[in-house]
Amino acid sequence: MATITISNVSKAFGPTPVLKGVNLSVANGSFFTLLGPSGCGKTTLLRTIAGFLQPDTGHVLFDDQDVTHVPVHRRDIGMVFQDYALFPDKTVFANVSYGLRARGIERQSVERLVREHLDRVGLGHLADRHPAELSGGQRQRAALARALIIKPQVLLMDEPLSNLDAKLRVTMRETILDLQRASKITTIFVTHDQEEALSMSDQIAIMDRGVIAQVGTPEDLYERPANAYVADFIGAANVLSVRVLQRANAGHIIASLAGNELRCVDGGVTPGGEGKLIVRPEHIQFGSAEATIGTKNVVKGQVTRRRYLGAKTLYSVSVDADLTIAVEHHAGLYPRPLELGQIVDMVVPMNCLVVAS
Amino acid sequence: MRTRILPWGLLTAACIALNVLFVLYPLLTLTGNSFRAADGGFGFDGFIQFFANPEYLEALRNTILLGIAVTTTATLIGVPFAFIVVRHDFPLKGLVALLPIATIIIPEVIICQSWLLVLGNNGFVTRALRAIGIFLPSFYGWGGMIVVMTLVYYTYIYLGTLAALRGFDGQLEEASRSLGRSPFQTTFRVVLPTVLPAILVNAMVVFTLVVGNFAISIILGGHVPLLSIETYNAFVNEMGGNPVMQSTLSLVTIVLVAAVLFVQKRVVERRLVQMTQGRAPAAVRVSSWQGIAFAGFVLFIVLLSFLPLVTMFVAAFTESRGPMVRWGSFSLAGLERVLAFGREPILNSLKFASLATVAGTCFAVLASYLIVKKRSVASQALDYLAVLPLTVSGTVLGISLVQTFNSGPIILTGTSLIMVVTYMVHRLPFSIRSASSALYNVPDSLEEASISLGVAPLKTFFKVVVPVMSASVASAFVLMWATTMSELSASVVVYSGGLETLPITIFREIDSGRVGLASAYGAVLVTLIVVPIGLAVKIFRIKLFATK
Amino acid sequence: MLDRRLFLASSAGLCAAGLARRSFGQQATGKTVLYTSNNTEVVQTALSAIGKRLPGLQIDQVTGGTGVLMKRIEAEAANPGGDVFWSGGFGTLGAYVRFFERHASPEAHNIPGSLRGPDDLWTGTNVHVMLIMANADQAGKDPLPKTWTDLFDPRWKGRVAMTDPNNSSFTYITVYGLLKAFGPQGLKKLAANLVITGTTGQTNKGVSDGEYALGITSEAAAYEYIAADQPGISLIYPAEGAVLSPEGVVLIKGAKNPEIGRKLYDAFLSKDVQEAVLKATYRRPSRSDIKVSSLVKLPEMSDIALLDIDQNAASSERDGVLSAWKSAVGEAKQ
Repeated sequence: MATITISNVSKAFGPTPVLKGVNLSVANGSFFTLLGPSGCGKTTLLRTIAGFLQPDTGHVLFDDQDVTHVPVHRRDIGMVFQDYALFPDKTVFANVSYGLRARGIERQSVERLVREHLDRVGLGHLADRHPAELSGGQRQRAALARALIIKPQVLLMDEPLSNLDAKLRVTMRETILDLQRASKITTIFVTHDQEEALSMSDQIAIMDRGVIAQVGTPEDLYERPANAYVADFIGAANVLSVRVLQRANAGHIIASLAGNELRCVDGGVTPGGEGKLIVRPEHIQFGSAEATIGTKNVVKGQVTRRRYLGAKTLYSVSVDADLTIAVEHHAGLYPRPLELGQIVDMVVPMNCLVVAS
Repeated sequence: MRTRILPWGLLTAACIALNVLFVLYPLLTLTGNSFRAADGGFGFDGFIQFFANPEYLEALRNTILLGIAVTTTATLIGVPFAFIVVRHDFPLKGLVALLPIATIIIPEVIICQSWLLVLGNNGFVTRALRAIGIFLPSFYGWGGMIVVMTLVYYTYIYLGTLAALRGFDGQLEEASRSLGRSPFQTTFRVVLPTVLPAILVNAMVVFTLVVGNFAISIILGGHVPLLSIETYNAFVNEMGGNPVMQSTLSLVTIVLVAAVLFVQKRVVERRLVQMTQGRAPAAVRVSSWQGIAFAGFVLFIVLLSFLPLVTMFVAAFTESRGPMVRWGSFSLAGLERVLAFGREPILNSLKFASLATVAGTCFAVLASYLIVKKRSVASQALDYLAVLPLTVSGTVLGISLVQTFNSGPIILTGTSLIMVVTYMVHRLPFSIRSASSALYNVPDSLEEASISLGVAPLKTFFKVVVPVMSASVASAFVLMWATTMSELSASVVVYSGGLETLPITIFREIDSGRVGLASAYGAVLVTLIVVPIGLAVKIFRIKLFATK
Repeated sequence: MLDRRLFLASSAGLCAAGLARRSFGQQATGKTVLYTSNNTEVVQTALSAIGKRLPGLQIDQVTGGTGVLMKRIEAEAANPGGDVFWSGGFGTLGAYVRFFERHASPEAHNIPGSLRGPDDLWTGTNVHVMLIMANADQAGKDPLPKTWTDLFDPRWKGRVAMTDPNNSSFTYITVYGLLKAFGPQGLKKLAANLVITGTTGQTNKGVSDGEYALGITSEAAAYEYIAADQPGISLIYPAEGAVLSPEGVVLIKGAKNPEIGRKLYDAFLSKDVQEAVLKATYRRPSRSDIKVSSLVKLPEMSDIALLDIDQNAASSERDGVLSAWKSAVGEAKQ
């Protein structure tokens, strides 16, 4: 169990920079996710923390110890790989006991610990099988057990669920979380799946082309995206061009969207300039002009598209020739769907963010 | 993973050093010697002599012709054979698994001499036919060489075509058939052209093997001048003197083989088609008469391949007097002779082969690991160096080693070490290739997993990588045992007093006309090769000729 | 798992035992290196007989044609690899005496003076009779030759085999004898018909296998096939006279194991060894106390017509004779 500190780490492969001055702090015992599309540098960062890569500049610290130049096998980490990397010639038992045997733990203790861990992941009856005889989910659990059993300071997981099918993935998330909470090992989890990240993490760092775009709790990231990239990556978002008119009180500004005046939160824009309004489809309400002090944050439009998905319905509402807004309504809140061509009043909530273009 | 200097950099350097010492340096020495004038200075004497002597030119011409002839016949047998085996299910199909054993594991010396027992001038078939008035032409010369070489080398083409066909995507054929072509036309217009480059690659390998062939050429060659024989004779005649002609002839051989391999790499391998999803069509159970025809064909080839071997074993237990074998009278005298006089060759063969096989396999595993997993400029150089011996026949290799280590700072001639080194170098490309192909299937994440669990990289190599490679390594080990035990062409050049091996002994006996005694030695040699292999395959469950 | 470990352990054990045994073997008994140009049958017969005289003696062999081995001995002069050489024709040996060691063998008094080398530098062990071996089936309609002169007939072009005289002491002395008897012209006519082979083995086998109709080879080699009931083989003692080709044993100068080498040398001259060799391989012994015709079905020496040849002259004129031969071959090709 350790805190992990990444301090100003940069890494380039040949002429291409992959990590640019990354700074991160991972709390002891937390489940920390690195999220982003392929090529954003999350795997590179993970492998740097593991030690398979050496940063060009910067440091990696476990607690107070600078491990930047410590070889992998002495960092006391546990790692779970996307392809599980179980040793094909060894049984599940031999795989799981591998790290313990390397540490010289005596045989009887090894036996006991392995049985315990296998039972914990539900593989007790498969101890003598070889990896080829196991299903994908079973293999993943074996890989997990193998990494956890050595009680590493840090657990690193590189997209471990990507090769599993959808339903299995969901069950495995629970398994992983349960195990992590029980062992309280500081865990770094890499994924490109935002649903996974949101549902599992204590903290998420979203990465964009080698830099950290935002760090925060899932709620922080979802409700208060720092910029358009984050907003767009997590969940869906409308990113609309607006003109900033003036500052208002309490950190708000007044912006103009297709002629409508809206009151929004100031995300670092200057009056008179351009900005990007970020509002989630499910936060847009339809209704009469109740609520709001001052501006009413109302935008009128026409429903041009409707997709019924059972639990929710997706709408495209066209405001003018250049502006279409996506709206999402859950059946629980809006039992009666809108019609195509219907004219509606959309209410944009006042806590929506406007960021610089 | 970034390669650190220790330990992998050091190991790469060590491997390169060994390779340079035992492969590159001897070849350079040989090349240098081919440019020696009579007075010891630089000169083209050797080459002038080569082009001036009609016998040498005839030898070159014959060698090329022989290569083409054998390649053609071997292809004509190997390719249809592969087609029949892959696509059809018929009785006795299981027998084909035995074929590579007959040709690749049994030494060429033995195959020759077995055929002589059958079709030689005193062969039992020849005598039987003579008794009823049919006089077979002499087996020596073109006829014998082509027959025996074909029956030895067709296996390479058979196995290569087999692998290519197994990887062939059956959907391509289905597409062709749906577009209106009959199965027969489909085979010729779709399957064959796609598989052709693979066939050609193997055909060219066969060509180079024929060019470098020693055992069959010298035993059955009769008086056909051939490059390999001329090279050997030059070596023998020049012993103690200026090694010009042997070097020149060796160089000519190398150039010829290198040219063919070059064409193969640039022209043919480029056309090798990669099947994206090769799901070969399932074997079709054939109708009765067709099934019987196929079974008959397979049986015929298998019998042809094994008959001489069986004959040899029978001859080993038959009374023989001088050059004649008295078929029908059982006798253990031959084997007694072997056990009385043959103890040294037997022990030598066992000693050199086992040392070479163990050391060679270890080296190959290490080198292939460095080449595949620890890529660097140095390891790339190692890759090219390791492949060099492919261009060199056994005879030429032996000559280059003798020339290099006969004098100067390192003298190895007369020691066991030179025999072991010869074997190792000869088989190096093959064993490295086997080990490499296994490594390509070992994902990096396996090693990383082990390292992450606290096991240092070097230890990881032994605890994780080697076990996963074990199947390929075992297979390469077994084949290396067989080929080093039966090596003749390099041994006969390199050996000296006290270092005689079983194949050399057999060769001497055949040369003296003692076919009966040669058979007794042959029986012992084959037993010593096959029994350990059989045991190992059973105990370690090795799949010998699994197509990769 | 046990199975495999057991297998590996026992293999390792066997290997270790094998390697150890070898070194033990060398300490307990004597070892010597024999360079020999004789075929395996001859060598093994001799060594079997020698084994009874000198039990426990380990004899390593290096084989090759006489000419080849002489060149080897010359090349190794500074660091000889062999102890004893057996056996070479007198004609060939003469050119290499500076590499031989004198040895006055206790058995030498049984060997006629004409079969002993100068200064005890070599001693004759066998006497070969060079004649014509014929394969009647291959000769076909052509009547078999009765004389050397018959052999010059163009009808035999390409059908007569002879080993290269540069490599074989037998054929060297034959060439010498024919040169003296028939002059360079005769030699040229002969050369025109010959196919030159690399080794004696190839000549003999070639005739027996039917590749050639005739072969110039030794009586002993040819007789082997007759004794083995090979059909169609016969011996022709040319009317002008067969050529005598004596062979001798040599102690190599600077030999690493001279004591044992001398014992081996003496063994080759002993009665039991020479008789064994005669009976098994039909090679006439050098000793005067062995009656050939009572042991094998060959004529007594006194009943064979022989060309008159000065063995010592043959030896000293070697270079000249070989170059005459080279010219004859060259001219014959045109």
